[in-house]
Amino acid sequence: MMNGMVSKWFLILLSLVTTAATAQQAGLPEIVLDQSGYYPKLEKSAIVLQAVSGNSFELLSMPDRKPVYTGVLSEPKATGYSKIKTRIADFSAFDQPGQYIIRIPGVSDSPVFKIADGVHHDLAVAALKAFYYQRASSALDANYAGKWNRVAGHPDTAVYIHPSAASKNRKADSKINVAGGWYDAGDYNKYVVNSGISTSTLLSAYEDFSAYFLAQETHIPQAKNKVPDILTEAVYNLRWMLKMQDPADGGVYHKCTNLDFDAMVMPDKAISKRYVVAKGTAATLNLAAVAAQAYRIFKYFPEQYPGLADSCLLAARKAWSWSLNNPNVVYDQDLLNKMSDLKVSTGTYGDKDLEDEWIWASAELLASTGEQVYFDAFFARLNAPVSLPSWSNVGILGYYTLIRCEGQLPERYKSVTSILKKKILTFADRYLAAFNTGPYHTVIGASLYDFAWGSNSSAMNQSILLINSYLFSKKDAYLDAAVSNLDYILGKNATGYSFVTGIGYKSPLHPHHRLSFADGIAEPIPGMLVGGPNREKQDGLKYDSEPETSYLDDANSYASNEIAINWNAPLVYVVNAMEYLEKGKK
Amino acid sequence: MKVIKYIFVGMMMLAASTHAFAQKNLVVNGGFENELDGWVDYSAKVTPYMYSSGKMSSAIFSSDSSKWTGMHQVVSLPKNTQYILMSAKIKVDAVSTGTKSWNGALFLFETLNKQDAKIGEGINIASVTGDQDWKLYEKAYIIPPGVTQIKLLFALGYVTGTMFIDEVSLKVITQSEFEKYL
Repeated sequence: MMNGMVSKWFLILLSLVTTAATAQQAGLPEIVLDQSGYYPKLEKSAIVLQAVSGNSFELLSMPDRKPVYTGVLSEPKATGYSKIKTRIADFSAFDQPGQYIIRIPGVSDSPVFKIADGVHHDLAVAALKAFYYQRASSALDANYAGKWNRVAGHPDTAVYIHPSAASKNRKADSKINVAGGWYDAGDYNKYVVNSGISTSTLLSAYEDFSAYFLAQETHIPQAKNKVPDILTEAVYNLRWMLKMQDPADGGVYHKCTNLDFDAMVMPDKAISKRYVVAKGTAATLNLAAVAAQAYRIFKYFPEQYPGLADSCLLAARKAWSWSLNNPNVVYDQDLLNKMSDLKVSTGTYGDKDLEDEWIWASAELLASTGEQVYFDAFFARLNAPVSLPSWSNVGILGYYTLIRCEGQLPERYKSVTSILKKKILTFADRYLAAFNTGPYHTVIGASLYDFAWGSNSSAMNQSILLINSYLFSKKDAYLDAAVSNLDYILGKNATGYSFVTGIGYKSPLHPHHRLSFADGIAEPIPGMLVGGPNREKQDGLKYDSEPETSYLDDANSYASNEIAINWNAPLVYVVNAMEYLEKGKK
Repeated sequence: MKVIKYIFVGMMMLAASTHAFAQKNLVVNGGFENELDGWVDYSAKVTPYMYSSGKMSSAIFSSDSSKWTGMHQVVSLPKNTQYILMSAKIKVDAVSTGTKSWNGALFLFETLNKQDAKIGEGINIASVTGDQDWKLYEKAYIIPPGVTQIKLLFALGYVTGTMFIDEVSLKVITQSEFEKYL
């Protein structure tokens, strides 16, 4: 009887323990990994999200299921911000190309994954081509766009001057041509500040890895011969940005927009009146930065783009001058709406701290001209702390540029780059520590605050910082940390999703993206990085309670499942950089 | 030949003076051994009963948390100064917390141009509350173009308690020295 009671209590206790152990991981996948694959010579790991009793894992080659590697699982790791516990299966030591699965007693075998050189080639092409699909004012030909071909929408050749943008030469309700450019995100509006970082990130990718991009084919319309596709695509938006500058004074309109967001319809069905709205210092400094950078690049393509480089430098200088005369004109949509009957409710992209825009623009102009006035403006702001870039925080883009262009700087300015490098490396070392100790063996996810709106773009911008650190320090650990975040967005995360449309065996099918929603095609446009887990859940939808699983593949989930050009651009940088750099890791 | 000799001597003197600036504490009476000489004090007192080095320190006491109680010194920078290091040792006794997060026993600085006009906002180096023994606070800083003076301030900013200050220093440093503080 006593033995029976003991057994009964033991069983009850065991069931409680078991329930607790499994409940905390309920709904999570078992083994998550990079669904696109791994490079042979770089970091490789998968994450086990369900409790297992053993401490080892095996890699089996496919299709013969022959054991090829045995590894030790890490001790269970707590995130510190959620109930989820992880164990890391690190197989970095195994470097044989092939197809594999991971086997761990107690859970299902992992899906098949690849280890190969060039394993992210398709993603590298798709991520860049996603910009082609975002083109406004253009029809997308079936020859290039395949089943996502469409007729043109938003010609933007006769856009109204909003009262907030009226000037002596351009009266309210007059019209200007601001055709072209990329749709910003899931909506059909075009915002200079978000275009700035996006275009620049593509141009920086080219500047850092130009030889690689010369050989890349993404199958987009090529009007110009011998121009890398990444530049062809960047020019499409650059020309739009240049049109957003008022030639009379150099100021730049904040955005080209409807008064309200379009319905979820195709571009040709979205026919609301379009406006350019209020000039601002942030937009103007964005153009100054991007146009100065473009000058450096396009001066080497005089036949393909006659006059473009000089036009860019002139536009950059005029934008700088306007900004000097209007140093703190912030975009305040609420205020603007109080002063006009034409109320604007589309994306704000308001930014009250413009110091980082000054840093970036001065750095780009310094790198392109070597002139002291720009050095002084940059040096005056050198005490500012560095932080991860975003549309509203662009200072570090200037640091990247001056380090990249160190060799072309006048001798008297070169020494400043050692300060920039030191500041960046201090930052990168924090990321390295996060990578080495984090619950997902990634840089992203070390902190609760990583899971904000557009968290996946933070992951990619962390990787860009690490890649830049690698480029000037040649420390391999930075590259491993950088690729870990690529693993994260491609499936090695608590949701089990690859967050890039069309890549991997479980990727978003319902992004918050009008083009993908309204085109009648089951698959979304490929190559787009969705925002990712967002603990702030601003759209009010019902999400999982944990920060790292606050994601929904739902077209209404603009808080976690929208796409945006400033999120795809760092993906383009990272995946193409890795495709290039891994080849050097023999 | 004579001209070359003068140029050489001039260059040597310039190099020596730059080196001298790099070594010299530009704060007058940073150890408070000469009472409050060099300081603009509104309420500070020197005390021989508490010090980090030497025989004196400066003490600021406040029993009114609605007031800013402090002292300052404006330091002129040598021409073309690019990098400086500011430091001080601070000890606090029973310093309360204020209504704002930055309220406390404060060590901060402002940048001034040659017309004595303040450029930008003051920058906090330390904000201390509660009880704390002597502790060194330092800040390496890049001098933006147009800044010719630094105003060093110590204050009980809208809190009560006692703050002791000693070994206040502002030195011109080289870029490589500056980078050690990044």
